[in-house]
Amino acid sequence: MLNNISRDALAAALADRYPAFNAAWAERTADRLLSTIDDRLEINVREWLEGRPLTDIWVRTSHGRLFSVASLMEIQQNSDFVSALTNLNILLSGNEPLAMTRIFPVIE
Amino acid sequence: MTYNHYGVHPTSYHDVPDNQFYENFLPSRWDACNNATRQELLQEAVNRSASLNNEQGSCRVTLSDQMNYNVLGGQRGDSIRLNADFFGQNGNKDYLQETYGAPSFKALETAFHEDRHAAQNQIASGVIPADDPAQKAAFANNRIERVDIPINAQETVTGSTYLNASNSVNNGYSLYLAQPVEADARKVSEHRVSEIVKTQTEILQNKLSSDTLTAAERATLENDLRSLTDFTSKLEQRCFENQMKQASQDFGVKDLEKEVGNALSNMKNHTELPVDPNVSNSVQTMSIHSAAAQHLTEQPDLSSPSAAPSVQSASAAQDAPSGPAAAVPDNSALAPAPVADEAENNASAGSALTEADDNASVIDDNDCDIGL
Repeated sequence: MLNNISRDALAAALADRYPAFNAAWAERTADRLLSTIDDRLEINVREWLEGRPLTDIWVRTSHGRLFSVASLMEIQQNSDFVSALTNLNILLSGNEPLAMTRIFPVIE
Repeated sequence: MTYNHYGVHPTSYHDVPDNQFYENFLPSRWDACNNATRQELLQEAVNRSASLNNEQGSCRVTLSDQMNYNVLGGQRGDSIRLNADFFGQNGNKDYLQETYGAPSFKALETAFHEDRHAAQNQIASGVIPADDPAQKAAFANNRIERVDIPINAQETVTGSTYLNASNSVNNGYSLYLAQPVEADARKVSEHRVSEIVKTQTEILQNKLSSDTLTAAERATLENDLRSLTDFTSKLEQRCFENQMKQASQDFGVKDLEKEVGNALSNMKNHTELPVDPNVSNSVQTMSIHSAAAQHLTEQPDLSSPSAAPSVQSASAAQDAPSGPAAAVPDNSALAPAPVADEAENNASAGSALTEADDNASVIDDNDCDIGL
């Protein structure tokens, strides 16, 4: 849970950087991120809000892979911070299989 | 199984009872099988699945080494291809092991998944009955078919009513998963494989209770049991229900699967079912890109001044060929990636991430509850 991030600032940044989504989504997503993201990732949220480079906070999987928000954005080949942050948070929460299916999606 | 023009592909396992047949997917047996045997086993699994689906005939199964490395399988017409680079004897098992547990049972799940698409085609075409009328309509709304998407009062662009996977953007992949035919195939295949794994687990546990096993036999059974337990645990974590729960949260909606079904119906049938505007825009954008990937049309010129303003998400999508613009911030430094089946997302790209900066913080099993 992110207690030290301004909800209004986060919602405004989401609305600004995800222009294809509407304001209601920005508000809902701000609430979701604030209530679900592990506070160990708070620094990345703050950096993103301030437009600064993201610190690599590496999370190690049970198979020894290391992921950070920035590395996940590289894998995604885009700057979708919310998805990368969410996926790293899923990994941190302990659901590694769900995180892996989202990080490396396969087609069936 | 009905013998007609839909084809039938009997195997040498035809008369083997289910419990005995599916023992062939235990790692101790599967790992020793060459590709020809694996293909025959997967063919038999598809035959049995087709029978359960009440299909006319069954698809021919091939283990193909000509598939992209982010594709586990595909179904078209009367053919199912499964990726030998994953499921073959010399395939890369690391990703499967890590994400799914026992690769052999993921092969089985994928075979069931692809076969369900064959059943869906027959349901949508009226060849076999649907469970209910809504199911038939949902499948019919979700085929590879051209649809005109209005971008303003005068103009339309071509879309498709089947959404190709967009590999590098999670929200795009979520929409692909949520469309009716993929959602149904996931649910059916997960249920079917979990029942088989449950039965095989009970059989192994019974065998292990015997006092007459040699040490080698016991070790083999215990190893198989560990694999099944791992597969079951991972399936519970990565199951379709959990994927949709998270995907719905990503979009900020209650039920993404329902939203996508409604969006496709509105596109195809001009209904006015309620859909979250973000989902609607994203589905339309994916539909346009999918049409191009499916060769239903030339890639639309989304930079056209007349096209850009009216489809909200399409204007940003020109910068994000890898997925719906709805998922992409407009300050992206995007590296274009092909769409759908031809996407170039490396399923094992994480191997490049095993070296961390000395100064960076690492959260591992010692200080968080990853715990797997």
